[in-house]
Amino acid sequence: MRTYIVRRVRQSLYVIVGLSILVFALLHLTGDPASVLLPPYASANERAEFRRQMGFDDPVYVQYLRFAGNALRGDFGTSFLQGQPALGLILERVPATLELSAAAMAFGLALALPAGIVSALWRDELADYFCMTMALLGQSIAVFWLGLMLMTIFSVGLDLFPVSGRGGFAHLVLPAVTLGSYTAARTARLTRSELLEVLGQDFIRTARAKGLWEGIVIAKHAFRNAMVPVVTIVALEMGTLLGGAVITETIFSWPGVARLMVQSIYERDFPVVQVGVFLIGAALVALNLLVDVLYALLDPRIRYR
Amino acid sequence: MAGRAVKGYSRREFVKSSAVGLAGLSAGFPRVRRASAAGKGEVEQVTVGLVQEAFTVDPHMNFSRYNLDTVNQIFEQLVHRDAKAKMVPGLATAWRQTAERTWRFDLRKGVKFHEGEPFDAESVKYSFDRIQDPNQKSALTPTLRLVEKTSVVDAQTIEIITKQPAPVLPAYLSLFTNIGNKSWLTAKGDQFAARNANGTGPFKLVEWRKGDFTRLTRFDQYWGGAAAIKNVVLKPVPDANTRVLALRKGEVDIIQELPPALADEVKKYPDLRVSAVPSIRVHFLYLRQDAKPFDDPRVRQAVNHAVNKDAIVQKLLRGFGHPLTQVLTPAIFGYNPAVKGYPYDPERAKALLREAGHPKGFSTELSGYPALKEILEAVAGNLKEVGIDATIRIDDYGVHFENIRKRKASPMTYLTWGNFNLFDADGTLPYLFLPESEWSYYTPPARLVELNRLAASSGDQRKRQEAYHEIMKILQAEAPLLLLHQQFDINAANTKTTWQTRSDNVMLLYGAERV
Repeated sequence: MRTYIVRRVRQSLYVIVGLSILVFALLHLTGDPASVLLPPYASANERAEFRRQMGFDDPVYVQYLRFAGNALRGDFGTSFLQGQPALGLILERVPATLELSAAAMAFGLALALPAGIVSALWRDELADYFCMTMALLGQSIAVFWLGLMLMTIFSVGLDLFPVSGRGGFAHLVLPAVTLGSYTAARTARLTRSELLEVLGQDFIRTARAKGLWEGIVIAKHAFRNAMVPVVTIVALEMGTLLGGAVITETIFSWPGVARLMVQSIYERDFPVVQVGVFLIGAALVALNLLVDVLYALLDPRIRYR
Repeated sequence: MAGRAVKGYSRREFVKSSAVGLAGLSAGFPRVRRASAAGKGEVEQVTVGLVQEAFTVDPHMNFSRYNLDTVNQIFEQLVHRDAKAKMVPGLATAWRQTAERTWRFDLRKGVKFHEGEPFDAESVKYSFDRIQDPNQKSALTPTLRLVEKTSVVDAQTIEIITKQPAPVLPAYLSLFTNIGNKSWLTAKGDQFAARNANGTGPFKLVEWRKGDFTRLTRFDQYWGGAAAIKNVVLKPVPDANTRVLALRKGEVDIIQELPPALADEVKKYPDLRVSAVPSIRVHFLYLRQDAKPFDDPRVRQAVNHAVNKDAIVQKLLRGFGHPLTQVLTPAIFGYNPAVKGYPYDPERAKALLREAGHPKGFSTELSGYPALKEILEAVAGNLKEVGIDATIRIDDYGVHFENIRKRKASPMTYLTWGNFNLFDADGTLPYLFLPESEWSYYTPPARLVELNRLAASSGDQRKRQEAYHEIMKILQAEAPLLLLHQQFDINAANTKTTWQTRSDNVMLLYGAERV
């Protein structure tokens, strides 16, 4: 197991280096940062001078090596626009993003697991139809529409929650519900189908045949086995939540990483984008590794060498 | 330099140009505000829903107008503009041109920075030098491109030598060129100054949680009298629908950039109001005269007659706009009221096309970015009616502008122009119509170039105005652009304060008080 983890960590480093090269190249394809950073009345000469000062006139690979060399020493550069170290700017947004992702995931799972189990146990009955219709809606409703509707009804109409910003628990509810609804829908459907498959297997029949209480059969034998694919999806979903909450963060003015990243891409603030991609990439890689380790814990048949 | 006689520039012209400065002097005493610290009209807190928070509060680094909405509450410029965008004394009480290339600014006495240091000429010189220092890598450097050298005459006087005669210098010093504190900035360093501030403005920075809010509090020793608003919270709320909901709920008191489509929604609530003013930003399409058929002025005029600008303003902008008669708006120095533009007249357009040898019209390409889709479709529809078959091309915002700069613009290319808030034709004409500008696709007649040179360098405002008026007439005949409309800056607010949108659309809260 340890050898496996060491090998996976090493592979992950290649992935992250590859990712940084790709992002660097793509960012430079989006055009000249000087054209965004300088006012429109800047002349061609002024723009050229600014490019020289900032080092944008070097070949892209030279710029990349300079970036990579500094990054190895822990210096990810200074934001062009914000005048502060890019790493710090991203890190200060991480708590907000973690808070929202965790809350969204908690909401999603709290809704999805019971719904998935109920649907599987009462298959093709009213409860199943209801849960799966809600899941279908959850997966197909546009996030921005859901967010605005929740805001209109619960914030402005019923005056229960604030419209925007970060603060206490009340600020967290609507963004978490908005962001978590897709996760809930997807996980509920998956839980249902996995559980149905497991319930049809021989060992469940054996468990029932030997007279085990149905609760034990479901909780101990069926549910645990059905969880292996669900854990994968949940972990991947967590990765999506961390990096992909752009729309939710924008609608609810949530001060997370995703909003900063999108803004930095628009404004071509390359150092901030680089660090952000690096950190989100590293988090995804770590999550994947965690899933593989969890597999072994959930399913004793899985062993890594 | 100051007293040296300069060829081609008479004493009389100096005296006339100094009139601006004298007017400044008379109005130069600390303005007594209705809103005072005495308590009348006081408001405990005003929260503003911004489109975008500041990137930095370093007064010398960023040119973005969203940045100004925060920074210009905290810092000030030598020259201010009143709500109608007229230049009024700011940190300078008077200014005058003392030689063709020399300006003198008398600085306001008794002004203090937030941390108590006195404001003086050293800080002005330091600020301008810092913006111009190549090592500082400031995005504002082009703003001071007219300035060759700033020198301290005495503690309360600054002298600026310009690279060429620059009658518009005060306008350039009225928005972006904020004055920071020399000793504070040098002691604290750039990274600290990006996040903390020590200005002379009516509000002090108290707390900044990036992405969430910026908290300001009024500066009680402000030279113009303390603001009526005690505390200001600036919150970035990037989504327009959310901004309106936050306003309805009372979470914010003022919101920026209300889309015209949401104006009716706001008007439904008696405690909310739409605050819109004509902007100096104009919308138009280049007609590239370096390619057929737009090399023929009759074709360019025909296109101008073919498009129904009133319909665009009424239907698509819901009335928040004015059809353009010329590339300048009435608030901009140089606007010629005698120039009436091109009325919507499809028959006249067809006749002009026939005259130009295109009785059956022609095919061309219109380009713009996603936000303009509806307007481009309306323009293409109008053109179709006179036989011009225009395909619409939509590019990403950044790509669109890069295409223009790289000379790859479509024969008809959309652009908006904001005059850099100079309120002077000098912020528009050289950029759009002189061949050396990256933004120009026009080969102007020699007369226009000559008139522009005269207007850009003369210290005589009347002569400048005459020159610009003549240029407007030339442009009317030449029709280098398809003129569309002047946009409105649309914000919204509740009825808690008297705050109104300014002509320059900078979100200044000083002067607003309780209703």
